[in-house]
Amino acid sequence: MAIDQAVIDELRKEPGMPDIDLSWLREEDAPGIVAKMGKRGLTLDQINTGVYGEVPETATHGTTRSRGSIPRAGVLRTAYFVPEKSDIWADNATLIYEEAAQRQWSSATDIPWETVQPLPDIVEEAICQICTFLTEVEFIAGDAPGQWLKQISPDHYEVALYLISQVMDEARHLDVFRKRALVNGCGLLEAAGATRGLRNVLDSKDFTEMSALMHVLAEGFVQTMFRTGEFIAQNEAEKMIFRLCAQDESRHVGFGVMHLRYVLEHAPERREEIHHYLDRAEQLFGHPTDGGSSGLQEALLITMSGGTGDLDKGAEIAMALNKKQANEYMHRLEVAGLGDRRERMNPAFGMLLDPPKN
Amino acid sequence: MAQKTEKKPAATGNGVSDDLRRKAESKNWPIAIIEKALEGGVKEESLHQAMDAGMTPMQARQMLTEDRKIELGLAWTKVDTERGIRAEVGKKGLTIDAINVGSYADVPDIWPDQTMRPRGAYTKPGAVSMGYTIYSKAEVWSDNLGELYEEAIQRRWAPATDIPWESIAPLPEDRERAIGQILTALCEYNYAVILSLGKWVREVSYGFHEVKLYLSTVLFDAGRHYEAFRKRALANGRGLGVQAPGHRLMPIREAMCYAEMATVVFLMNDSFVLSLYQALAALAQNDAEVELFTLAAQDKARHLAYGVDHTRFLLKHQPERRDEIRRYLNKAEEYLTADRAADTPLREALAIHFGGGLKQIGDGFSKLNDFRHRQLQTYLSRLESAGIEGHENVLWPELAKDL
Ligand SMILES: [Fe+2]
Ligand SMILES: [Fe+2]
Repeated sequence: MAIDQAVIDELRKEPGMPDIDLSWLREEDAPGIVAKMGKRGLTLDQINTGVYGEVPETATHGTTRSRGSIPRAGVLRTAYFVPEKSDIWADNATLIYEEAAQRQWSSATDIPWETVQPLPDIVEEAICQICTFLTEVEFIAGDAPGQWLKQISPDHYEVALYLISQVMDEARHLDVFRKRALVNGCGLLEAAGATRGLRNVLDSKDFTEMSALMHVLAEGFVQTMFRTGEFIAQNEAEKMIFRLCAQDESRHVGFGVMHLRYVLEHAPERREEIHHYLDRAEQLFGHPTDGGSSGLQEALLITMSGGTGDLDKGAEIAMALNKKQANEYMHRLEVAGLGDRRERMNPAFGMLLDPPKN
Repeated sequence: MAQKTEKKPAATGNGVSDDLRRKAESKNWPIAIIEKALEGGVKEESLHQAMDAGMTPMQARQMLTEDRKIELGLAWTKVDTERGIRAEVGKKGLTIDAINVGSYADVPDIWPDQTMRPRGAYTKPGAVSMGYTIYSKAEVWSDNLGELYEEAIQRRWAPATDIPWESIAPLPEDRERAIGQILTALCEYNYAVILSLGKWVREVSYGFHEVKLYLSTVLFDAGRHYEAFRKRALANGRGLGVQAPGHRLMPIREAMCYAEMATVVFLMNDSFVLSLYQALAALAQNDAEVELFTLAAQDKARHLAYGVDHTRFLLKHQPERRDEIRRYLNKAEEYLTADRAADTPLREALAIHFGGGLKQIGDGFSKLNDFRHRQLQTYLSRLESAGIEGHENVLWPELAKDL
């Protein structure tokens, strides 16, 4: 349905009417779109139809123009975006973003803080040491995607929205572990200092490098640890914290795995390059000078022994956790299409792998 | 993690190849560790790699040996941090302000540490920089950060499911195209904020974690507005309109310091944007738009609350920066007027929307003028709350015409 030109001509004759143009109301400039509500409401996938759903392989403009809107001549550039879709894309970005919007939680009110009761001193200290480590490292995973936002084109806005949801999640993670450390009579303890592995994430000059290091490797390890949280937690509040954080981390890891897969499918020539990033990252994460995290290791032993003082029991669980971390890491790489990593994985992790299932 | 110990007999000492034994001896690895590893299913090749890569026997033992005598150093329990902290869970739960107890509440004027050490924790000497650039509290701080952070989380909404999209019925072509054009401009504004804030979140040093947390919620809000406005534009048959000229976005991307960005975004632009959101809520054409713009305005009000408080805090602690801040405001005002002059589609779309249809566009223009006047008055009164008085005398001349 077009606007009646006669109406416009009449309007122009009205006394006191400022100059009106109205050329933006041309019929051909409104391509029409039929976005329908789905089971999960009006989602991004639902509105990705017609021209609005056509994600260009290459972002060609440096402005904030929204995908599908009518280009205007002479607009000033806003940024240099990563042009190639294959360098930043993941097919599950929209799904993960919508899930993040649905599953936000509040560390102030969704954690049963009243279940945190006095613990033996050493156990409380161990929990606080673990929380110190986590509140310290969590927001590196907020800073890193944050600093990439300025390079994500609005043509690929789905990725930007996903990255934003991760920044928000990590804010909550920083916050919830700090809260736990300060609620039960102890406080923060020893931070590891900036570790080389995490510096490496912030230093990444390539999006896929950043994503592989942060999402697949680092957050993968953290997620496995969160999912083993019932062995660390001393009460319902801590169990809930680990459960909710693990749910968030699954999204971050899920984005990373699917991004890696997209890259390997669309730019297979990058395989060796990606191995190289992981060679270096695995070495840094497993490096003896990385982290000075003996505090974390000891605290895990103490909590995993259930506060019984039976450190052997704690060590057994910690060992099982290490193995699980390595194996789940390997599994994610396989899903991403990087199964050949098994042969060159850093021995610090490689020696923990179960034999491949065929 | 269930099957751990019950599967294998004790190590027999057999099964270690000569090659491996030789390497173990040359690297000072006890044979017992090698045996233990093989017994645990580690491949011989991996052990070669581990020794070649320089893994110490100590590390290997930590990973492999289950029956050693474990000795804890516990140095981390002896660090000099404040203990005995028992933050109270209040009516609003355990809030970020509630844990600001004792020395953990001390936010220094200059944060002294380039590492990611959390405020109040101890870091061993030798920790390295993480490359933050903002260490001045006055540059970023406001006393309402914690409150706004928690409020943002409590009042979260999901555009997919919290907006009654089904209430949107077909509209006349002119009305639908007009709202699509207005939302096109608002999407771009929010995207520009996203591009800018992502960078600034990362620059703030770790000691001011409340700022990082709060900015994360603003990013999330901006993303949500971008998403929700795009959804509305695409929900009713038409879609987005003509790209905005982008002038008003220039001062946002060009901000050289955080205070400049905060002035331009949270004080100046957000004031005009909030007024527009509120007007759009009042002029809503269906329940979906009522909800959409009311919720968006609620978010935007938080951004502005920070903008006002932050500027007041900054000027209280660094009063010498008053003229500098005015310059940022003037620049943003200049570019806003340039944008308005260039953006015919938006101006006409607003007139159609305010007038209630294309045929009433003449009336719409005069309503738009009234709105501009109110928008500017509100902006000036917000500046006053922020401690910037008399700005009407130094407004960018083009903008002053709306007075
Ligand atoms: Fe996290
Ligand atoms: Fe994460």
